[in-house]
Amino acid sequence: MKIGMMSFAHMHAYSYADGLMKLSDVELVGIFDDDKVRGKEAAKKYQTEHFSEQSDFLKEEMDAVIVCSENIRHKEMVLNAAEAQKHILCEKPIATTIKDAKEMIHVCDKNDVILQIAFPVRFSSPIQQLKQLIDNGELGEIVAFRTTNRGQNPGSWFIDPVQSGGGAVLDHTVHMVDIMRWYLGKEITSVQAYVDSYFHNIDIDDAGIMTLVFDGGVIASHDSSWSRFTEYPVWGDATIEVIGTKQTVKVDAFKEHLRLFTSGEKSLTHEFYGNDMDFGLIRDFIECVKEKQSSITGYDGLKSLEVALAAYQSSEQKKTIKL
Amino acid sequence: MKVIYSNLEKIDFKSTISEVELLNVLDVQALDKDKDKTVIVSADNKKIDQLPGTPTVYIPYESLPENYRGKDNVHVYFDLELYPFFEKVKEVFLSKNKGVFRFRRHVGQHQTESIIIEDMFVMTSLLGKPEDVEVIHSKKEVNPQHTIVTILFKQGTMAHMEYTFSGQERLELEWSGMKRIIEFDSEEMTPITPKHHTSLPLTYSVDAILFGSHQLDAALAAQLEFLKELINGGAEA
Repeated sequence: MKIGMMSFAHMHAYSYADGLMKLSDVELVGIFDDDKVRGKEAAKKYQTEHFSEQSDFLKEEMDAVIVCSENIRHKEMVLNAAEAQKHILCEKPIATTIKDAKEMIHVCDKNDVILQIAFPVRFSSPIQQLKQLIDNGELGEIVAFRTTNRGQNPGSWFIDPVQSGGGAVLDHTVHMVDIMRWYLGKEITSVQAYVDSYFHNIDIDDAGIMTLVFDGGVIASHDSSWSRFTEYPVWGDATIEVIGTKQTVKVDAFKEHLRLFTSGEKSLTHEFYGNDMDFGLIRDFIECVKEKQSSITGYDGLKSLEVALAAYQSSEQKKTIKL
Repeated sequence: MKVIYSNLEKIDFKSTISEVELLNVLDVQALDKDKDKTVIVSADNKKIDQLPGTPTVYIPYESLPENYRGKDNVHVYFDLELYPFFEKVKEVFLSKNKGVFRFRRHVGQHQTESIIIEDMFVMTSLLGKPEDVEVIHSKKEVNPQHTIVTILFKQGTMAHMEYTFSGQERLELEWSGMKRIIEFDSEEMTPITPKHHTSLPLTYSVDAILFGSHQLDAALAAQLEFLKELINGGAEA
């Protein structure tokens, strides 16, 4: 199978490309990046061709593309790839507005190509094990969720509202909202949130907490932030606690680690040895392309985006937003 | 005389310096003989109206009966405030910084919302006055009950306080501030494993009660009533 990559603006592009390299039946046929320096370096690293023009890149023979651009450019690249009949894996968030997300879904449907959204947390082994426990009825009825996704400030275009469309709340909320929707099979109906900038003296949000209600009455809390500084032992977390009528179970997707103590500025580091969820995402996408069926759809991306955007709205308007 | 009512499982007598006598039953006649004594007895054993003289009474806020209100000799205490770990949190916490505060309790199925009120009281001493409070409860007909309190404090901190009303007590706390993160989980910080051998770290000394209690005067009563009204505004999902 021939795969192309569109932009290496998002750091996940590297781990996704690493994932492609591990698959014997997959060829990375080219990289489009109009940041020529970055694109050429990536092409050199992965021993493939660099394209600085999107139109030239999309003329190449390939089955699918992976879009890892700045958030604001997801729409442009997805629409172009869909019109060129390429199946698509798009980095999250799907878009920066509901209107754009809906248009992307529509154009992909019209062109009969799959639009898969990159939610790698679904491929974490402990996250999958908890899904299995829930599906087997071992937690009973779900009463509530507690979730966190807190990491380091990624800097660069992520902290430019024009290119990212939002800060930590947009960047991180979508992951755990997707997991909660996946576990429960229901949609969020109301969002109440506080969003602010606390940790980095930047002109974009780096902290947000929200309280969510699902259709049927399950309640949830979520903590999204870029609160982890470089000296903290680990990049961050992705946790979910499910309170069920039979038992409560908590998972941290990044919990599997060694404690490494050294005498440097960062005296303690957590060395992660858990499964590579990015590779799981890529392997799943290749199977989806073969079967022409998304496992994480554009609609999943849209519903998560709705919640993140509602969090901003709730904080600005100081009221609960009904979806 | 000082009479301390307490959940005795929470008392760490080994770290207590004050002289205190543990009573299984509050014997009113026996107490009359020694007026300088400090005694401690289970909070289930409330007999304030029968006590000789006017003893100073110390009682957990959650166990405070209606007929104790308005009496000058009653002091209430909030267990969160007395835990040694929380003392340490106050030491290392830098209140001038804004940040995200996350607090989580598992409490007994039969505990009431008073636990939330007293925790909020303690939190306001750390984080300042609340500007906005939102409360949401899980469905009443489903157990365990879960409550999420979302608070924006005037000084800028945003907070979640969450309660699951089931089983054994567990307490988790996280503070994310500028270049400062505080984490505590009573399950992880237990110094003895298997955990059923100890109540640590969720214990406190008798001294902590004697020095950390608050006289239940009109100002305190009004403040607690205000917090109660905030909590009672919560909706069921």
